[in-house]
Amino acid sequence: MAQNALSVVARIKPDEVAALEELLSTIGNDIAGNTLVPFPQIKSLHFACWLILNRDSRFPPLLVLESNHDGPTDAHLDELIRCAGPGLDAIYRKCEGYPMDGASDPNSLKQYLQRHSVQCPAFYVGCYGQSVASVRHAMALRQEIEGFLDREQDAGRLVGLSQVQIFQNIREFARTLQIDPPYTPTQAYDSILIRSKVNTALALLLAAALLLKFPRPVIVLLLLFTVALRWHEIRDVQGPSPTPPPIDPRLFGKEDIFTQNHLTTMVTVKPGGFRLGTLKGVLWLVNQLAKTVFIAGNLGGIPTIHFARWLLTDDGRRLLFFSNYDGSWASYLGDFVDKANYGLTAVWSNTDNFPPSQFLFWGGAQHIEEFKLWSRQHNEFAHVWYSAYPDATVSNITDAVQLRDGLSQNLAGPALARWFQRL
Amino acid sequence: MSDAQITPADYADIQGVVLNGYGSLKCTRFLFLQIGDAAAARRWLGELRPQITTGARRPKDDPKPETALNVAFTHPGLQMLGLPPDALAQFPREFQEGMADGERSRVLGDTGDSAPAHWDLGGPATPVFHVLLMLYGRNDDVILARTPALEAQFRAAGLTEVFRQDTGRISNREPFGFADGISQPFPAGSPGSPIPGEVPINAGEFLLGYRNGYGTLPPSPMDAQGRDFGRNGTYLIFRKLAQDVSGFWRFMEQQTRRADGNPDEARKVRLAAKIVGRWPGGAPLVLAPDADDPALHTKDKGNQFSYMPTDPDGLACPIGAHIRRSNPRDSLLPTPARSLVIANRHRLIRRGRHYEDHRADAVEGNGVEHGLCFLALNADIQRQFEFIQQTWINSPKFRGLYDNKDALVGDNDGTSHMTIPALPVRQRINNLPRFVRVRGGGYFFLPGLSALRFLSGGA
Repeated sequence: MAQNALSVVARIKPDEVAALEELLSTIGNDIAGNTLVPFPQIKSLHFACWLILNRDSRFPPLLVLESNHDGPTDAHLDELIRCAGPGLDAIYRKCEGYPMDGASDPNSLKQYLQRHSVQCPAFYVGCYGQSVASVRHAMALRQEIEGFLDREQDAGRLVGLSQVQIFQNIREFARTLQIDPPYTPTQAYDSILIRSKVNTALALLLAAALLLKFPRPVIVLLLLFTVALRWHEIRDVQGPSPTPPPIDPRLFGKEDIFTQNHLTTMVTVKPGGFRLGTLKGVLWLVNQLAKTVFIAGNLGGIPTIHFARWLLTDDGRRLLFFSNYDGSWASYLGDFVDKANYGLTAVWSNTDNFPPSQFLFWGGAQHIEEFKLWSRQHNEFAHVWYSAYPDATVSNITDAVQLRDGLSQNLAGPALARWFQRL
Repeated sequence: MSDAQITPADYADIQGVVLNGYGSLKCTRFLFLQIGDAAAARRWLGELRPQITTGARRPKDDPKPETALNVAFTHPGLQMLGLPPDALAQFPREFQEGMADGERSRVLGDTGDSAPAHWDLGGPATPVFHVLLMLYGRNDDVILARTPALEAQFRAAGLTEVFRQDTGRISNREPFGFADGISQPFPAGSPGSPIPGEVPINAGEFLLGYRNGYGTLPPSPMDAQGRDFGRNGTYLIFRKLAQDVSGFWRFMEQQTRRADGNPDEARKVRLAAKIVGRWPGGAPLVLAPDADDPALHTKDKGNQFSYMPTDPDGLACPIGAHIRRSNPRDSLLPTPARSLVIANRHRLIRRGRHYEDHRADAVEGNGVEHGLCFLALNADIQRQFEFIQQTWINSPKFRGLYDNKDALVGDNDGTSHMTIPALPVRQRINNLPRFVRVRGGGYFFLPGLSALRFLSGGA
């Protein structure tokens, strides 16, 4: 099943900002148990966040909903409203243009959310094709298998058995298992891995073909773009830049509670059509790659992102980034610098206060201390953040899914040895 | 890049403990002091400065020193001493907040018994300290002999001793019984040469004022006149770690009993070795998978190895073994070559010493407590010490694992596991308790000699 992104951006009534903060805190402080938005009941929901953007006086206060969900957005909206209608009503009542009959008429609530939903120019999914049900089932199955092996080993029942025999025993055990809710995979994860490799080759071929077929136009365009870009980069370094916002101290209290963390970065796009155009172009490319090449649990070198998206708000004047990732902030930012700095610099060098870049890809995020400081200053505090499986990493999930796949395959030899290494 | 290297001209401006492990000075006394009067304390620093041991090389004919003295300060300590507020504000957040701050405990795994509320030093219930004096001596006698003069000086300047920690004679084995201190990073330009298996690392990983592993200059606190207070200084992490030695070996014994219930000595030691990644003698499992090998006990042989060529799946040295976590060498993603670069951005100069305390609440319950005065030096507490602690040691998800923390030193609570890859199928150790308890500690700045002069009120 495909995963999709829902982003709803609404203006908050200025005199309701404080009340909305309080309401969202109530929800956020009891994420699993609150009655307004009973997250665990929303079966199609992987990750969700509500964010109030109110730190930059040049812009009106905004409420942003980030939802990463299974299946079509329309059906997800229906489920959201079915499970959390009164909560949504209480929240969006504090936003402008909300229909006053929202509480009694689910349709008008749905139309409001649809009217305010925004397409995100770039969206990445870490565990491609894995629904919430698939993830939970695979993780539970793996745990059962580990428990089974522990018991068998303690009783000495595996002594002298070969991998083939142990594999048979595990399969027998798994056949008798009843995991709630049950789940039957429709496609093997291997096929996704193969698709990623094929797509990588196709993308390289396409780029080479373009260059060979139209060498002169491509090179001339690239040269013209590079000159214009360098002119902007040099001017940006000399010119004044806005004062960065202070670091929000509330960020620290919400980090590193679980295996996963959530990051939101809000920045203003550098003025002028060239920067916005470049940004849109880069995001378009990131999005294409995310849908074709980076579908194997790795976004340009970073293997710890479950879902990420970039979003333009305020008529393209601000860029918002959401990421749901594994591990600590420090290790995530370190990964950015160690493994993915070119791509990130290409995106964020088009925004204010980013460390100076050269030729779009260089510099920028390579300056680790400045990059970390920039990130902290522009990180927004999210009152509400939900994960359906907060203790599973991307690597855990793709591993567990492949363990499950293996049970229905007649593995032998090296393939079987690889399967055992996942335990 | 010359500014990534220490030059011999800098040695005299760097405190000795950075460049020198003082291996011949077997005994240590750590004195934690509180400042009473700022002006008097600055004068005291002026008197102390000429006594500080630097990294300057000893002329050939000079006799080996009997003692060494180094000094470091907490952030409140620097504030007490009157470092300008704009310079104070430039120190990184983790140093400003200190080791016992609420969120740090989550990062460091200082939970349960190890939470700051229970600490001997540096916690909310113990007196504040500002200065750490580190006195090293060839034996206990020279330490005893030099202490009174130091005490007289700091007392006269209104400083009070709030905690004292002595360490025993250094030995090659840490209290659990394993050879320790084998691998050690080599800051480029240090005197001597790296031990085999180490490459010179940009000095900016261990000292402010030099280019670091990213090729950039780490931020350094400066005053309004642009004087660099950080140059040739570094951050010092002190942690007092109590080791439950009998608990550790009892657990190993229980996990490896024979079918008839009798202990199996060889399997017991083997399990402990799997947890550490080395045999007690020091031979790394990746080179000696089946039994200890005395030929690998030397520092150079015992450090010259990588994981991926022979042991990518951890069949010899488990992925979650202590030494494979605390310095993963070539075994991180995405590739072995890249991993070596990334791993070297998270190294520590380790200057730990072992202690033996006699106390009623000793972790082993027998009145004697063994442990480690962990002392590490790095240029970026968050990116080095805290990162290792959080992302490698205490992360149950390290390198694709599910629920494995470091079984030796991690903040285990009786529920976590240790997966030991094996053929045909993995083994798993369950319900791991915590074997190392944090008794306290602090974050310090260890300034260069010029900065020390500046602090004491000199020009």
